[in-house]
Amino acid sequence: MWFNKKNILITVFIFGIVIWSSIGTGVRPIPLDNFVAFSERFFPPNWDRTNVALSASLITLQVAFLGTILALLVAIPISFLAANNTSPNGYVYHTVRSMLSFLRSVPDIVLGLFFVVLIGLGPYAAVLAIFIHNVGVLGKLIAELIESADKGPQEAVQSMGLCKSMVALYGVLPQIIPNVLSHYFYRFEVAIRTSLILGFIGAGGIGQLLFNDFQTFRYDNVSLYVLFIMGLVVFVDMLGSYVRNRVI
Amino acid sequence: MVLTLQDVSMIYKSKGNKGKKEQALDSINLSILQGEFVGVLGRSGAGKSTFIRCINQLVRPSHGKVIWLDKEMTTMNKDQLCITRREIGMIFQQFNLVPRLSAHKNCVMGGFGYRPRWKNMLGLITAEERERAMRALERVGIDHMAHKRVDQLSGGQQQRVAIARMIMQKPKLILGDEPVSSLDPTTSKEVMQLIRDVHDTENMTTLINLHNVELALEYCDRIIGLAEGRLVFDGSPQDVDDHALKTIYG
Repeated sequence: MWFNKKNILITVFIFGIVIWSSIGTGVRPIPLDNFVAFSERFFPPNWDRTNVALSASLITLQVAFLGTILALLVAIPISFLAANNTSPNGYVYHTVRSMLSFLRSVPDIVLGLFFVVLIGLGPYAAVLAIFIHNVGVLGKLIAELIESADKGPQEAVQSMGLCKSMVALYGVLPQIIPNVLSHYFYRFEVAIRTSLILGFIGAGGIGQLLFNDFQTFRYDNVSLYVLFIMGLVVFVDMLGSYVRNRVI
Repeated sequence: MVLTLQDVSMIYKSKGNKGKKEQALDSINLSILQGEFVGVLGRSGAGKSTFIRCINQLVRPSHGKVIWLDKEMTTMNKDQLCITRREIGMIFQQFNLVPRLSAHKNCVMGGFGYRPRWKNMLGLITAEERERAMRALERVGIDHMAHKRVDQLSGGQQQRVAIARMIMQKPKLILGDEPVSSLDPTTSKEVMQLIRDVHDTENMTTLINLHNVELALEYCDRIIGLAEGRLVFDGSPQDVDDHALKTIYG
């Protein structure tokens, strides 16, 4: 069943592209002695830096939380204008959709560079970068949830004599809340990783520590920061699951 | 006459079919008297749901007039429609309750049409509204489930909550779009009896789509039949004989 001429040709073709891409990107086996020497400098982690790593982790958490929660608060009302079933008219729908696409199309790292220049170094630049990018992302995702919401409760709310904004509030929002939270916590998790990268350009947090110590070959510090980063991501994932379970 | 339909037609433009048009209702003329309990019979696709939705303008008819208590609904703007819809309660086949909310909260929402917008926006509920919702739930025999989420209730229980929500709305007209079609025969009878009781005690007028002819004959005062969007029968339950059924169902 699997070994027919067409499948073999497809497999050979994909394999050829893998080889071509590997040559183009210089993929080759990592010398084992290099790997061992490098790993030895990573371990054990430098536990003396725990307090510093903890306070930087909290800044990263604050940046990710503030950027995404503000984005969520702005994205929810905007998404009702960007959904074809709740938007007042086609003009508003297309304008808001285009605006969200524009916000999404600028990578947060570019926004971060822009805000570092505009308002100076520090976590605030990262908050703004994450906020703006996530308004675009969450706005689109929530608009799609609104469009696919069950029409029944909306029709019922409408039939009770409530206006369009109340139909959105009572006929749509309660239905989509679990999925909105799901998207939010995923974006929160992504924002933690983003704020690390933004730290590389001077936006503070554990990302900046990681970058500085990597530049100065303090790999024992780096390994500690990586552990904290993993802890942060696991914490947000568990928090998201807990909140979703409570709400669903 | 509390409700009059004059030459009401509805044509749907099909989106994916090169603008092909589908006539759901064809020149319906009908008058409903105060206090009548009217059953609407017809095959699937005969236009029953469109007919019911044209009355409260959830579907705007392509042509004709719908006159409710001397007010022409077809020419109303959105705000006027919202005010008028408060007088018309609706019960749906799939109950259309807001999932994840409790039976009590769903019931309270029935009265939201009478409140200022800001109060609805903030979701503020007075003690009097809470009490009234509890009484409505008690009336339909579901008060012991008041604080349970509606998606954890059975179909019959959900429809009772929907009826309580409708009572909370204090309507003068009840519209039902196949409210018992997704229920078992015993529960269907219980729900129909409940609707009939509410209709009788509150002196309402009721129009209800039904698939089950026996239920229609048992509970309705007047039967109308639709076939291919046209009104093909209008008479009392006693007039529904084999010939009438053949006219309606083909």
